[in-house]
Amino acid sequence: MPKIDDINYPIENSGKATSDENESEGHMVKNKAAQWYWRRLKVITAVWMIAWSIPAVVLHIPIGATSSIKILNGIPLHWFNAALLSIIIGVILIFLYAFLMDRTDRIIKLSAKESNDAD
Amino acid sequence: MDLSIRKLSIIAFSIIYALVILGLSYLGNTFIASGVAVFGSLFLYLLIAFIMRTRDVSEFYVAGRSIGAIPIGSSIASNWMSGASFVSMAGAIALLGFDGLPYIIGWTLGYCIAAFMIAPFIRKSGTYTIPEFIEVRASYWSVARLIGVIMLFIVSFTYLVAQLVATGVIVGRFLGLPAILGAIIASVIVVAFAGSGGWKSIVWVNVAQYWILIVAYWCAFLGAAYVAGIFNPWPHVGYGELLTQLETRETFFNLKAFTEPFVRAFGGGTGHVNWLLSALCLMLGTVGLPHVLSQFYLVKDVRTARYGVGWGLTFIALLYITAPVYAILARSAFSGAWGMPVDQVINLSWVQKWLPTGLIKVMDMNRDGLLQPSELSFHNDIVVVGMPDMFGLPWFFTTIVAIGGLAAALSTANGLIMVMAVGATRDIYKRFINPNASERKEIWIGRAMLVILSAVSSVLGARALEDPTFSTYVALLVGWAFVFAAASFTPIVILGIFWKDLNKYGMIAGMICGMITALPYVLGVGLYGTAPLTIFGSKIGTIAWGSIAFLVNMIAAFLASIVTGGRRRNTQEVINFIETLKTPE
Repeated sequence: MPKIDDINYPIENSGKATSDENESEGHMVKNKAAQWYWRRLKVITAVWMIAWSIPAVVLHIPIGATSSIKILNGIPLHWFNAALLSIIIGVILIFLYAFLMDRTDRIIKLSAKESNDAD
Repeated sequence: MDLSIRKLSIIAFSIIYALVILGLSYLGNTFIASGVAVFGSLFLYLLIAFIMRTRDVSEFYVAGRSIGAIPIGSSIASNWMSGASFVSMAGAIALLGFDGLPYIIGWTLGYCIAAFMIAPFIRKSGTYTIPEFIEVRASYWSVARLIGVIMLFIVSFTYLVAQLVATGVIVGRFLGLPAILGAIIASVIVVAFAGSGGWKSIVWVNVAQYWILIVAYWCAFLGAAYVAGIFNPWPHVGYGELLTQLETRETFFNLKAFTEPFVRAFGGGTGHVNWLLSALCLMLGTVGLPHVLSQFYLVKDVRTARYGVGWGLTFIALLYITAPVYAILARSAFSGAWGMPVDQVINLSWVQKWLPTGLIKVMDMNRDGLLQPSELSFHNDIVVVGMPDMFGLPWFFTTIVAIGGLAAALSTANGLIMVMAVGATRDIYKRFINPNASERKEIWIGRAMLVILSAVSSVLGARALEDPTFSTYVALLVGWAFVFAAASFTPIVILGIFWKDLNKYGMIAGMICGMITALPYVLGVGLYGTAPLTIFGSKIGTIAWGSIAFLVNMIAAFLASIVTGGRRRNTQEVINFIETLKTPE
């Protein structure tokens, strides 16, 4: 989890700048923050889509092996994976994604607020 | 009247409703109690819609973008789970065994794609409809919006007719009324829900309908599970012994085991690759359906969109993880009759009750006096509607299932008719005919559209109920809607958000190539009996083919965008629009 500093906000320089410089610097800061946010969002999305492929596809590839494994007094694993486990993994993935993106949004909001306060 | 007082009237009505039903039941008048329970539930939905009525355009179109995560999750779930999901899906799995499970993962895990790649961005876009989103992304090219509206109407209208048919059948089956009358009543009621407050009314009606349908689904399930003894410790993980007994009986009667993979066809195809691609197509198709996407406009912010989809899938999962166990319970009840004398089977109380409806058929074909598995055939719907009777549950379980089935069919119809009304009003009337229409006029046009759409769909629903061939086409189209959505909307929406080089030429090329790939194959294999293609030893059915069409759309959109100059073809407005999607709220 990166800290606010990692966003590379040049807040400490803003005090000595002229108003024009401040405006252009503020714009640069905003751009940098937006770029950081988008990069992070894309990485999280890519990781979560790879994770999604597990319940959606990967879990159902080795059917030959999983169909011969019985769990819980006789439920074949390949059936259990498709009928229950995949969906539960899907639900967990969405909530984890929402939680992580929520934290990312908070970081960006907090840094924006710090930037405004410094201005 | 103050809104909180009006909300209290819902609670007061619910209490009176429950008391009247209890009173009638106590007096032993079960038929009237069932009728009051079913029609009372309709009145409850009407009351909610009326209380949430509005004249504000934003509330009418997008519920004022004010809905919280749990309510929108309930609304997403009930909007998604149709009468067919409620009544027929468990039956489809009972018939298809493991080969029917693409329905389960396909119709749930698509919401992960929605959560990660679509919902938050749709909300952030500030648009009101998916055709509007497509138009803006296609450099304000009005043709793209028109294509979007046409696709929206084809998919939603077919779906709506299927819902009206389902409602008619449910009303007919449980109350003995003509199914056509049931379909007409349903269309009138849906117009009343939507006409009173647009999405604002629909969302809250959907919320009530979700909780009613899920309680109904679970009531019969838990009752049957208790009788079947699979609470060890909980039915969803406790059916191992029951399944083993079932498969032992199936082996004894020389049948393929219920959980044996790839022995039955799915979407006209067979084999492992067909299974995987079918599930994938249903996931990709889900997130391209306009009535699914439209829900993401209603939430109050991006954060709510993300959590709302999470709650939506949670609530959907409550039904979808239960359907396979329902299937096992029903199949186990059927298998209990195998080998019994046919006379004895006909005298089983649940067989006696459902035999006249045609949902089950008993025929001693080899005239040996004993029932062979092939001599007991059943319709998908019997699994859920007949479950209370199969396990000897009291009469009111059947009524509860009827109320749940009705809620499921209506909740999907609500969303569909609203999506089309908004499409007709905002994407056609306001965009092309009268851009200066006042808010008041827009709402009245929306209401008029609702009435027209309802009238046309109820006529088609009645036709489907009367004509089995027409009904078959409607059912086929509903299944193919996922293929067409995966082949057209889904790739364009995803690329439109994540790839700024996508331009209007790429979008059009992608949609056209996707549909050209999908349509002939679906019609050929699904309608005209053309032999399906074989990939890695699997015959690829119509639904599985949707995944191929999705890929073709992506590649065509990519190549066409690159060849025509990529992002350089996008106007400054489009670039700004993409930047809006990328930046935090």
